[in-house]
Amino acid sequence: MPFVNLESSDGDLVKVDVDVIKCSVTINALIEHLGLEDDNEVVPLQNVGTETLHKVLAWAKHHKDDLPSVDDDEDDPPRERRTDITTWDANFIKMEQIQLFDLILAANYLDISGLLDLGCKIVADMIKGKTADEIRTMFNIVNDLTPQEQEQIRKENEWCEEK
Amino acid sequence: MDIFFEIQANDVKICTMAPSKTIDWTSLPELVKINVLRYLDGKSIMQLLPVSREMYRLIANCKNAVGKMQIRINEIADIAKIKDGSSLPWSNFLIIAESCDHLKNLLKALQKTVGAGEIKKLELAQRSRCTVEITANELDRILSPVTNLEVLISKIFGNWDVELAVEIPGRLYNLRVLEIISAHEFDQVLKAAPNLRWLSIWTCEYILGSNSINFRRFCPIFPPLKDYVTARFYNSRRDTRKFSIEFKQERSSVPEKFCGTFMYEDEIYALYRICGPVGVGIFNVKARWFWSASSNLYQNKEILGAIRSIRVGKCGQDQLFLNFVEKFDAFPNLEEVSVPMRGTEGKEKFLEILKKLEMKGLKISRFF
Repeated sequence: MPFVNLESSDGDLVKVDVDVIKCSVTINALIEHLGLEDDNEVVPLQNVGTETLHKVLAWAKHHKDDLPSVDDDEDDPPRERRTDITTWDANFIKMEQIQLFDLILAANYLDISGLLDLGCKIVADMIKGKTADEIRTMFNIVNDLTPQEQEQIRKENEWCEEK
Repeated sequence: MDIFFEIQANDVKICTMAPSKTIDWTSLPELVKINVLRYLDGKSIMQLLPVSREMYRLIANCKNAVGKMQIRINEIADIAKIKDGSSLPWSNFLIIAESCDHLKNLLKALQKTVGAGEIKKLELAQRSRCTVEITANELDRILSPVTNLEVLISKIFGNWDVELAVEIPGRLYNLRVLEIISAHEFDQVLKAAPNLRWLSIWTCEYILGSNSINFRRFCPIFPPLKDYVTARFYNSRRDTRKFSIEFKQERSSVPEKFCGTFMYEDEIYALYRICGPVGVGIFNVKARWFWSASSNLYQNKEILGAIRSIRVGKCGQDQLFLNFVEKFDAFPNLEEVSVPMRGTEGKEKFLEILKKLEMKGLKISRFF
């Protein structure tokens, strides 16, 4: 079965080479569990819109020959992960925040670790160097800490700051 | 922020919505949030703590994030502040000392304050323009109560003597990660750490001059390490396949004086024999020597697969490395190419090759 039809949440069908989408653990599992055998079968993706699906496929096509990533070992040193991004990925990920958000959710749902990592790197970059207030505004987070709790956190950490 | 009004019969609710073009953090799955934390350094994670209760809880429950929040200690006064009601599970400490006595005092005060058994990760460093030297026996005496130490990173100069291992076999029983500046007989420290899973050895050519032969003479990595590692880690590697050994070099500010430890064919072979293909990453192999002296290596693809980082472009040797550049493709797991091309000729042609490597996803560092 060289091709599979993916149905987006908008109801659109997208035909894709199985070899391209093999990076998705979810789709692989669906193909296996649904027992799909010919090119006309449809895999429903209820959580991925058409526009996002096309972006996912563009990424998957470019990375289809990548080696599988290796998960971090819990026993490894708690070091910061590598944050370098290839030129292609950097250009690919240039998009509105809301599109990035949809792409991250899709990567998470489809279980595509490489794409999820890329999205998370970008979000991490957005956080770096920002104050708590700026982060709240950027990610629409409500500050539910009481002034006492905030003071407690400040006290706990003031002596850890770089000198 | 967009606002809309929902009007009901006897009630009016004012609801706020997420800005239409931003990420709504609260809607992200927890695993995605944890993944984002993994790409942040300790300082950024500290900035996140006071954002919200949910963020505080997320960080406090994320082992990796807590691990990166390391306490930096310069003076006894810093340690005294640890008592001030911290509820986070602080267990990681960076001690920056200016002398051996200073280091010993800070370590003793830290143990007394937080309890020696609470210390899980310890990084020892020295202040700029200071040289801190400590003997293995001194360090052992100080660390012996730290029975739960899991990670030791030492960037001070140690004199690890042979008696240490004889006296304290298994002393560092819980030590899982060791990053250390190599020194004479440093392997004796390894014998006190039977459960070590991660080893990084930082070699600094500036300790003993820029001549790599002198360096190896005073720092005989291979004979003791080979004897030790093959005996100690064979079962561990066979059983878990998780053991890693990583050799690093401290980046010198003067690239021309950078001393490669794994420049020669016999060195590459020795490392391969010790570690096998499991978890091996060889960094900063000098291309000029490697390519010109190691044609036999090309017959063993597993060795080539172990090499992750190659450094090329020794000053004045560009003519030599320009003849071997096509051999980059022989290294299937190559992640990084470092190119100090200061004062060399033939840049244009080499830049084209680097651009192709970059398109393949390799990280290219250029120093012109």
